[in-house]
This record gives sequence, C-alpha cells and structure tokens, in this order.
Amino acid sequence: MLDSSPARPATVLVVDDDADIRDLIIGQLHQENYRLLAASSLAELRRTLREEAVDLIVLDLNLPDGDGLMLCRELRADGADVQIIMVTARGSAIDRVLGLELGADDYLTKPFEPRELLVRIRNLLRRGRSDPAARPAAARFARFGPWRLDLQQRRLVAPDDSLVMLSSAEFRLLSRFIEEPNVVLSRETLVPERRATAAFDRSIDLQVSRLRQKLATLDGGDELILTVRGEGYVLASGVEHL
Amino acid sequence: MTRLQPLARIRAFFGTMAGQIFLILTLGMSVAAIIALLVAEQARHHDFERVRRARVVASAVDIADRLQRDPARVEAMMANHRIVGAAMAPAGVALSDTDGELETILSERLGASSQPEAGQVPAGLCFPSRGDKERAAGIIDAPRPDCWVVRFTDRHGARRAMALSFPRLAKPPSTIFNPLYLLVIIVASAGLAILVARSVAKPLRRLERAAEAFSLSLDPEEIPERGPEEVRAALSTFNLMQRRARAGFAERTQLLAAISHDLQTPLTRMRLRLELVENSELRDRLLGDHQAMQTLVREGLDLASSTESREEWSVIDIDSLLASMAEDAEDLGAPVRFVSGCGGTVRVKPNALTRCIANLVDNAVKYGGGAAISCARSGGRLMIHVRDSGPGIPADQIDQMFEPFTRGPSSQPGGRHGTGIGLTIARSLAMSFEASVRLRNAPEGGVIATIDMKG
Repeated sequence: MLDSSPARPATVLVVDDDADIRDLIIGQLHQENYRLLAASSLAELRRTLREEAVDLIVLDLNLPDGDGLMLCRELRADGADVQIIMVTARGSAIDRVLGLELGADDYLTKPFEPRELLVRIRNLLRRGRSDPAARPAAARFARFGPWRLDLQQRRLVAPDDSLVMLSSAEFRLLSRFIEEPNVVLSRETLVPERRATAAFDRSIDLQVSRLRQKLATLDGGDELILTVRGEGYVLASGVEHL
Repeated sequence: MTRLQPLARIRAFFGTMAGQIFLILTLGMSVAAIIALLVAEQARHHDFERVRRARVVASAVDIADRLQRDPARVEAMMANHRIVGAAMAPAGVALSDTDGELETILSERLGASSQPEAGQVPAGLCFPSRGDKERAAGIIDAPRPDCWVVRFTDRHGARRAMALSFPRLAKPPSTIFNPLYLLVIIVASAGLAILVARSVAKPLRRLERAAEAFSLSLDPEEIPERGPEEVRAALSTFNLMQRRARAGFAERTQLLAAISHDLQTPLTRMRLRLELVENSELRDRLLGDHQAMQTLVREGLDLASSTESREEWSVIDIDSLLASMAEDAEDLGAPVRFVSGCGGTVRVKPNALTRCIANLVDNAVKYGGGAAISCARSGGRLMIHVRDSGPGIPADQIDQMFEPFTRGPSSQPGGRHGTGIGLTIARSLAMSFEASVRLRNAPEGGVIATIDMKG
C-alpha cells in the first residue's frame, strides 16, 4: 500500500446532488494533486466504484435516490477499504455518532471551511496509505477495571450505567492509557503536544490526579493508574474493546 | 426560608379562595343559625304568654260564672279565702300595667259590655295576711305565686273585682346565648366550610399544577377531566389550549428548523465561492458576513433540535460534569472557574445539560467577562449557578432576555454581538430534562443564571 510517488495521484470521488457544490468542491481540490471524479446520486456512485479504483469518497448524506449512511454500511460490509468523509447538513450529534459507527472515517457538517476539507482529505489519505489499521476502531466502549469508557461520547460509564463526565484533557489522557495498557508511559508520551516542557509540567500530574479521583469513585477504581517514580504513569489493568 | 408570622399566615389564608369561602360560610351559617334560634325563642315566649293568659281567663270566667249563679255565697267564700286561687280584690288597687290582649279575650268571654280590666300585681295583694305568718326554712325562698287582678261589669251592671292567684309559672332561661350552643354552631359551620372550600379548591389546584407543569415541560400529560361539570369544562378547555399551544410551538420549531436547514446548502455554496474572490479585503468582509449567517443558522438548528431532544435519560455524577466543563473552558483560555460542587448524582439528559450549561457559560464569558460555576441542593432540588462578574441586567429587562434574538444593551461591553438565541436555547434544552433556567442580578453585582432541576 505504501505509495508516495507523485506519479500515481490519489483518486477522490465527490458525491453531492447539488451540482454547484460538487463543482465548487472539485474546483477547490484542483489545487491538490488528486485525480477527481464526481457523482450526483447513489447509482452513479456505485457505477463509478465498479469502474474506477477510488481512494476516498466525499459523501453527501442526502442523495436523491437514497441515504449515504446506508451506502457507507454497504461498502464496509463488502470489505471495501475506501476512505469516506461524510458531509451533511444535518449536523446533529446523533448523525455524527451514527456516521462514524457505520464506518465513515471522518465527518464534516455543511457549511464547512474549504481548507478544513482539504486538510482532512490530506490527513486521511496519508494515514490510510501508511497504516490502514489506524482507522478509528469501530468499538464503542473500552472496558478497564470496573469502568467502561464511551469512546464516542467521551465519558466514563459505571457498571450501573451512571455516567462520570471527563474533560477533553482527561479523555485524551485516558485514551492514551487505554491504547497501551500495562505499559509505563512517560509524561512526554502522554502529552505529545507539550513534549518540550512535559518533563517539568506539573499540570500533567494535576490532570492525572483529577482523573484518578474520578476513577476512584468506584470500588476497585482507586489503583488503576499508578505512578512509576521517575518514569511516568501506567494503567494497571487489561483493556477490552466492546 | 422565611417563616411567616402567625398573623401574616392568617392574612395569607384569608387571601386564598378557600380562606374566603371558609370565612363567608362560617359567618353566614353562624348568623343564620343564631337568627333561627332567636325566632324560635320569640315563638316560645309567645306561647308562654298565651298559657299564662289562658290560666287567668279560665279562673276569671269560672269565678264570674259562679258569681252569677250564687253571688252572695261565692262572695263570702272569696272573702274568707275559701276558694283556692281566687279572692276578693283589695279595694283601691290601681292597675298601672293592664294587659290589653288579656282584656280583649276576657271581653269576648264575659260579654261585650263587661269592660274588663286585668293586670298582674305584686303577689302580696292576693294574700294580704300572709305577711304576718311565720315560714318554715324550706319555703322561705319558694317562688311567690303570680297574682292577677281582674275587674269587670257583670250582667246586672255591678262592677266586680277579683284577685286570682296561680302557681308561679317559671319561664326557663333562654338557651340561645349559652356559649356552648354558640360554640357548637360555629364549629359545625367552620367544619362544613372547610369541606366545601376544599372540594371547590381541589380542581383549581389541579388546574394550577397542570398550568405549572405546562410551563416547565414541553410534553406534559393531559389533566384527567374529572369532577363537577363546570370543573370538567374548565379542564377540557385547558387541555385544548395545551394541545393548541404545543401544536403552535411545534410548528414554529419546524419552520425554524426547515429554514435553517435549507439555508445550509446556499451557505455552503457561498462559502466555496468565496474562495474564488480575489480581492482579499472584500473576501474577508464577505467571510465575516458569511460567518455571522452561519452562526445564526447553526443556533437556529440548535434551538429547533433542543425542543425535541430524543436523548436518553442517564444518571450522572454532577460534579464531574461541572469540573470537566470548567476545565475545558480554561484550556481554551476562558476565565471559567468551578467554585463548589454538591456531590452525588442526578438524573438528566447529559448532552442537553452540557449544552445548556455551555450556553450559560458562553454568555457569562461574553457579557460578564468570566463565569463561576457552582452547585447547591435544597429541598429536593438541585441548582446549578453560573455567575458572571459583569454589570448585570436592568431589572425590567431580565424576563426579555429569554426571548429569541434579545441581546444585552449595546452600551454593555459585549452587547449586540452573537445571535441572541443562546439563552432561548438554554431554556429550551433545560425544559427537555424538566428543568428551568432563571436569571437574576446578584446583590454584589453580576448576573446569576440558575438551572433548577429535580435532584
């Protein structure tokens, strides 16, 4: 899959029933070195997919002959590994969750910043090519100790289904721990965006201690994140994806 | 909690409908009962007088009869006190207080020309000699008999006078002003009044509760239409109003949602086309306008979706939510603090609550330069306060702040920005989990926005 030669540009298929928007998106994407295709309906989209090798689809959800969500599920069920960015005017949280659950790789609401679309397409293409396994896991929950972490709604769920809310920083931290359970993580690896100062940054310790407090509200939750003196922190628990 | 003084509580009770019905019924029934008793008392008095007169008439007619048959013997017997209850009247007694009614009856019985005179006189006149006699202790206080003097002219034209005596007829004392009777009347009236007041006020209370629920929750239950006919009619009218208001509200929301939704496509086109504008100054201005429109559309959609939140109820750790929100805002550089929590859990729709608080916090930061979030429980309610340190809102404008497209006055720092739907969305989100949002000015300055929910 590793293919960084400019000789073979990635193929991007833009699906939207609004001709103006379709053309305008394609106009934007011309700046980049992509091979561009367009479709205005599900039927056209399916035909194009049969005939061409497509790397990424920019998919509008409301199409005249059907729902983009269903197509997304179909493609995933067939094992297609084409990348999908959903673009929709709906914008409600439920659609976002549903879209990602049904196998979209990214989600954008109309109206969007053209540059944001470009950046996301670029990121997805890069990630998809270098590491196909890095597509967001379809798992909704990660179970560790007595807790489940809701990966989509970004909150902790106790066994009795009551919720404990996490700040964004706490969620990022916990996600890192869950990606590598039972591994000692240094401050630098925990907060890569603050790598330069992480070793001296007390706010990481503060965040970890807040996270510990939240985890400790359940029996068996108080010894989940352990301090390893001089090295960092470790999540002392197995993690099971549900 | 302020405790009402007893006097103020009594005044408050009589301010209620139940209190007024109670007052009217208690007073009215007591007065009616007392008047009825007075009338009965009057009738009893009248009967008593009639019996007394009947006795006098019986004796007078009897003696007059005897006198006519055998005047000499009867006169002698009377003079010697040989007839019990009748004697010769002492001469020279003036009847100062004659009984007109008795005289009318006597003249009917003794003949039209009899010209009777009759009156009650002191008992001593009937028994002139009694004063000399000694009495045994047992009868010293015995009631003296009644004594009447009757004079009339008989058929022969002779004027006769007799003194008639009767055992004293004691009139039993009136019962009406006995405090026990009054107490019984008033207590019975009050009891009945309370029953009536309650039964009248009950359906009204139900209506009031339903109206209250209507203003708090968007999906209230219909009130069961039970009770007397008038009450049923009122309840059914209320239910009708409720349905219509909801239908109107839903229509408004759908309209807003439809417009906002359909605006997204032209806005997307416009945004994409803006990339083609070469004049960068013009493009920046157009981008600014586009951004404003987009914000309006997004908030319009938020408002529309807030009224029909399909989110599931969950039990959440409330402090973790407030702390996380403050932390996230701080990470983005907004001056937001989590001051004090209240512990425990609460049952809400978590995303709706999060967005509701976020709207209030945004407002506090935008108009009040910062937000302090705190939480308190009292009386089964849980209250989340978001306090800013701005100049406050003029008291007469506080209620308007919840109307869509109302913003702080332009003189205020941060006024006249934003869409003015933030608070409307917050309130409508709060309704979706049966909470309410209030604004008030803090005594120390700044505005406190409070989310009030079942805790």
